Amino acid sequence: MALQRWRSETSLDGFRGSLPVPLRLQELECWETASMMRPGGGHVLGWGPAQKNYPLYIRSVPTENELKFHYMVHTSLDVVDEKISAMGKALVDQRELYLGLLYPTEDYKVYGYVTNSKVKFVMVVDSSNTALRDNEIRSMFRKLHNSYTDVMCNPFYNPGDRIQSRAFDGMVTSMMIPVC
Amino acid sequence: MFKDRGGQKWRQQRRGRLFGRRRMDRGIGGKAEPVCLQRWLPEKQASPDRSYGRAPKMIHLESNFVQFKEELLPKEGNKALLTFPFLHIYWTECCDTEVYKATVKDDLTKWQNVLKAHSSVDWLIVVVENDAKKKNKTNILPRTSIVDKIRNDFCNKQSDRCVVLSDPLKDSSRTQESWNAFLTKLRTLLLMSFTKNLGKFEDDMRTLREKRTEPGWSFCDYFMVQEELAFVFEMLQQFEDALVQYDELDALFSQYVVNFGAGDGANWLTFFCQPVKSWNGLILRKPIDMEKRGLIQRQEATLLDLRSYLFSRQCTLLLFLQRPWEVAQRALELLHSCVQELKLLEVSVPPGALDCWVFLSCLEVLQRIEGCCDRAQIDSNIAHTVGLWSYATEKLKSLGYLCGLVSEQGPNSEDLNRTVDLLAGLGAERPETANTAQSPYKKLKEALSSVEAFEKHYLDLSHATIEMYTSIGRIRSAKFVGKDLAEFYMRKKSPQKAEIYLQGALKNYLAEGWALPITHTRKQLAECQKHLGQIENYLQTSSLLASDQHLTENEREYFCREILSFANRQADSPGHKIVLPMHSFAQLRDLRFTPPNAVVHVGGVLSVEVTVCSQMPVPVLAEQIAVSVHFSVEKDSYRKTAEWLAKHKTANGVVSFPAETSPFPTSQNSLPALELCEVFERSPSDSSLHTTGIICKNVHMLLRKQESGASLEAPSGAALEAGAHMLKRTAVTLEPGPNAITFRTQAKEPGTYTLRQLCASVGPVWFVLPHIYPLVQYDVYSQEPQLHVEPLADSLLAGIPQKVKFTVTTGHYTVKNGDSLQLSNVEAMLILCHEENRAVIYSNMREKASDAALRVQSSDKVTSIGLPAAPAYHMIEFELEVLSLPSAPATGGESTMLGMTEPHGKHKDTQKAGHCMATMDHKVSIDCPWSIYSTVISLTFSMPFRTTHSLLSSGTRKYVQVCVQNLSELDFQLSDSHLVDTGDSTDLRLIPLNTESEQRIHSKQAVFFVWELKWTREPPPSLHCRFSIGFSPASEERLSVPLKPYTYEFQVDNFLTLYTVRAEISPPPGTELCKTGSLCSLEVSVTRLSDLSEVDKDEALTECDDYFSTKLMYEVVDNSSNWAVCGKSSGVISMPVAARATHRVHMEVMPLFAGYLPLPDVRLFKYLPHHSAHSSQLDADSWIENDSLSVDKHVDDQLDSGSVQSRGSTRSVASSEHKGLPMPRLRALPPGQAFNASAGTQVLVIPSQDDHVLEVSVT
Repeated sequence: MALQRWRSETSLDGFRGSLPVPLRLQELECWETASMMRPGGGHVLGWGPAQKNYPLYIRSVPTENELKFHYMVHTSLDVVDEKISAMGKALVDQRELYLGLLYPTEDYKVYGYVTNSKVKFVMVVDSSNTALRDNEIRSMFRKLHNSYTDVMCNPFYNPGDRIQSRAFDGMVTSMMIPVC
Repeated sequence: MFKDRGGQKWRQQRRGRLFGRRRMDRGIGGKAEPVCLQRWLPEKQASPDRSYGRAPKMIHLESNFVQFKEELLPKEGNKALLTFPFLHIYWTECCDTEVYKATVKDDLTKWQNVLKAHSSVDWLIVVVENDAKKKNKTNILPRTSIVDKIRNDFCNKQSDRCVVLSDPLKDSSRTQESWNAFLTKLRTLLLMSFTKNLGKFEDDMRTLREKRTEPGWSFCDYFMVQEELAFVFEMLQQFEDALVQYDELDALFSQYVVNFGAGDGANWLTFFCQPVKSWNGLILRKPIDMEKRGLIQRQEATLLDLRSYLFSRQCTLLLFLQRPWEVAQRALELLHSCVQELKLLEVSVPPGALDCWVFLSCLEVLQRIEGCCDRAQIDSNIAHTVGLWSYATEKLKSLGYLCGLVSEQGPNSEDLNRTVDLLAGLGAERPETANTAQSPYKKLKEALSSVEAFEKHYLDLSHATIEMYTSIGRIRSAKFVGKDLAEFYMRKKSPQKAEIYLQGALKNYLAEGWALPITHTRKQLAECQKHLGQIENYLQTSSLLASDQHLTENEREYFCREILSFANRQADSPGHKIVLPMHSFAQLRDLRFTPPNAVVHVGGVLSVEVTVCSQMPVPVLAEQIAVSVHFSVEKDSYRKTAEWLAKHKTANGVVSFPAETSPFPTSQNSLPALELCEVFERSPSDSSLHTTGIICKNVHMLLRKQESGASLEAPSGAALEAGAHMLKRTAVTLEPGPNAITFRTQAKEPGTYTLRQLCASVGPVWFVLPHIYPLVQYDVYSQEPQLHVEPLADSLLAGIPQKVKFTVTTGHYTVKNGDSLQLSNVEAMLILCHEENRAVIYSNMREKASDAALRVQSSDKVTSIGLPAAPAYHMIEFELEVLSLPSAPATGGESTMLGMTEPHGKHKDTQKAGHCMATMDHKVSIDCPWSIYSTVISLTFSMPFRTTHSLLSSGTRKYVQVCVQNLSELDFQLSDSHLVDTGDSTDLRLIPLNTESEQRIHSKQAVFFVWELKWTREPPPSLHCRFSIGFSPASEERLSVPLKPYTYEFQVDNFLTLYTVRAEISPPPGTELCKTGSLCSLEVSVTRLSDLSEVDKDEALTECDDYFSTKLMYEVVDNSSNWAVCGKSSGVISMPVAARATHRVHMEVMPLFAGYLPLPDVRLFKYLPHHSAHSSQLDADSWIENDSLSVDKHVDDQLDSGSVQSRGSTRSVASSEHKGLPMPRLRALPPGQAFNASAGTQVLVIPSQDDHVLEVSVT
């Protein structure tokens, strides 16, 4: 009996199925954080809205390799889409907005987050920045989300427009100044 | 002694090592037991890790029996757990006490001492009893004695450490029993030992780990220890636990690397930092890579070796756990982290070496996974493996670039050297894959061997990756790989293959509005198109790039010059046009019309100022900029007037265009709002509504949006519209940024012109804006000359000078000097000419152009007004004073005779009960120079006065009263009132009783004039009078023209008094005064004052012997209900027509109220016999009453008014309905003929005494 149970548990792990549930996808935001120690690192931040996935806000520090980050964030949307549809209803129930690591690359880690209104946040972090663990990333996303909510509360902001809020900008800047 | 229990070879080998060793007594038990023991031992329950609080697990423990050797016993600090002797067993079949004492005991003691020396407490002594042996020996002690002895000697407190096995080879129940007992004991003890030793091992391991900060600590040593534990778990098939051991090692190592990166280096780590010399990838086909393990054990492993080994173990365990997808995921993480770690540790790696390693590893992992899963499983889990595919592709690409395999010329010698170095680092192929055709090693070697082979492999990989990405819906990733592929094709100089990938990627980026990727991809596409010679596409892409804000100034200029140089090159060969969309080249910002209402008359000049924002970084000379215009004739002619259109256009004439959102057309907000309008169609015949609907005006905008992604890059379906109407400018230099271009056009045909397209040509390149939206139109109208004449004031007053404004709208007619308006004169209306009359000329926009003196010449028939010269589409305005002669509505039934001589002067006698002014229309016919027809203008003048007259009598004296009522808003000064008899009776005199000669009459007031009529001889029966009075506006001090007096003509008939009616009320006899409620007598006497005269000759007159009499009817009416007439209140009397003839009538009346009561009215009528002959031609004044008592109230009014005759005509119509009735007719006597002598008389009535209520009526 005991043996049986144990076996079945382990086998579950390897073949976790995914149920594609179509969801309305909205915006995306991405950014990349790097540690202070590595001059090569920077932040990219951006996002895009409904179905179109166009960026609402995108920011990268430093700006030299901006193009690469744009490509990276854009590509990561694939995984965001996948995760959102895979999590489907479970996501709604649990209200878990953090999507976790979308995919690693050689030099960067890409994290995702999606709001209830399906605005996507994407964060690209230098892999060598070990100071940023899951919890830090999570709290950064939460901060980002709060700030985004403030932006949305602005009656003069048209949902779907590019974000030009100075407060939001400032918040992002403060976050991109490395935490460690 | 190794067991062989099925399964793979490697497993047997491991088991052989893994299992615990038993001490066997020399020579005994070595023969048969293993087989039996193997059969019985396996299933055991243990709880090796109870100390961790884990749940007990069922484990499978296998054991090996090995002959005891002292050197096999573990030394202090031994870390080998697999070869650990868990239980020592001493086998003896001694049954002889002597023998026991002589040898066995010593041997046992020695054995025990050895065990003690190695602090091993896990032992068992087995005594094998053999009945056969016992029987042979005589001096046999009781069986138990040996066992007891042994127990006594060795197991002082652990009696269970000694078991007896009886007749092991016999098949008896006793044997069976003893075997069972033995095996149970064996299991228990073995497990006890195992548990204890495992716990101890783990404790030791932890202790060792805690020492990691100590200087001499070696990771490799520790690695070996923990791996031992992992091996044990693996042996126990506790793969999860085994994996945990490796994961712990992995994490520990990673942490060290990170700490090293942070400057906290450990000595042992520097060892891993040796330069990478071998990069032969992961080896996953063997369960344990002994070669690498050896390196680690010898502390010779490099970082890659360690990582490779660690991962191969993890992989093995994961596959045991049937988690192949985790392998893939971990592999990717591993590869990334290795690359990171090498970077972090600053390990020197030859260029490309890591790429080789990663490539080989990726393929190895993939092949390993493929090896243990079926196709369907793999296909449904592409999401897990595609990352590795993509990574391998990426690495192969970079290797290709590194080794010069991508360039067109192939690798040079340097590249070849590098390739050789890289291949050398791969070493020889491993034996286990040597026979596999598709091994990663072979693949890499082949790929690096030649340009062609590389291409083949790279394309295979790329296509496979793209396909996989596409199949799982990761379109963006697929496009990204596709872009790499395109880059490769471009390097290989096959742009036709690259194009499709670039287009695909670009479309994707455009659809999602990613500016930087769009720019980058477009740049690549431009190069591709250039190579392909797709001129049109290339130019379009270039224009997009030239306007791209994300490019540097230099790049933008480059693309701009590409366009310009193409344009110059092609300038020689005309005819071929290349049409490109405008939006990338320049954007239409706004458009301004002059005149601002965008309405211009035919021949007028319209200018359109267009602001175009050039997107080009450099000034561009456009040979021609043109706006094509669509012309439509406006059917509704009303709309063509300038006035109407002026009202319906934007005030300032500026039309702004929404900024064409360049790279972000996809934002949902940029969708234009629906522009809906309602449509009503009416049937032409009776204009009843037969169709309604709603039209979306901007449907082309809305529909176009949906395919915007595609249309943006499409080589412009914009056909150049070749219209007849164009607004053109040539040779315009468009500076970067906003440019104002002004088009001028002279309006020709009237109609509506819609601006359709904007195009700019640079050589053969035409940039076209296919639709100008929102709709922009201008209108050209043509207008006929028009003349408007209107009074300045609300209404014109007759009799005094009034100003009238003339407006000449010239329209298309040009007024020349000498052109004049010819006004035909109207007698009753004068046109007053002043010297200072000036005409003002306004332009079409109501701006004053000039003014000029007006020449007015009057002759008898016409007045000629010379117009000043004025250009077409101007307005001439001037004012003239006109004077309409005052004339009152004539009285006496001949009013129509006045003014009728002139057909234009028609009186509208609109005097009704209200105080409306009488009006007169004067029609003036004007000949205009532009038309052969006369324009007839009607001017309406109002009479400021209303005049009435009345005849007043006092006995036989007569008075004429004239009442002048001012109906206008003005005050007038009246003077010189005259009343003349227009008849020729000289003996009639009118003596004015008016005192003042001048009088002011205010607005809405009346003035009365009275004349006494005196005559010497018998007067004529009717009197014609003319009242005239001079008047002038009271406010004006002086008038330029003498004003005509106001006249009023009227006629008074039968003004001589014929009868005097006298009524008298006398109190009842015997009383002095009348009392209410008591009857009084009323005496009416009618007295004839004159003999027979002309006026008496009517039907009522009867002649009898020269004695004339006439019938009169009297009637007593008390309208104020003061009196009750008792008995007959009316009657017919025959009145002799002779002077002094008197008729008296008595009747009784009763006063109803007390006080001074006016007498009841006595009315007198002519009583006409009925004559059918006369009924058809009723006299105007006749009234027929069925009931003589109910005389209509109108009669009273008429009697009072004194203007009976002037109003009579309106009555006749009303009374005509009575004609033909054979009834006697009554005719009221004209007011002058009957004089009521007792009018105004009052009688005092006192209240009756028994009245409690005193009612007093005072009148």
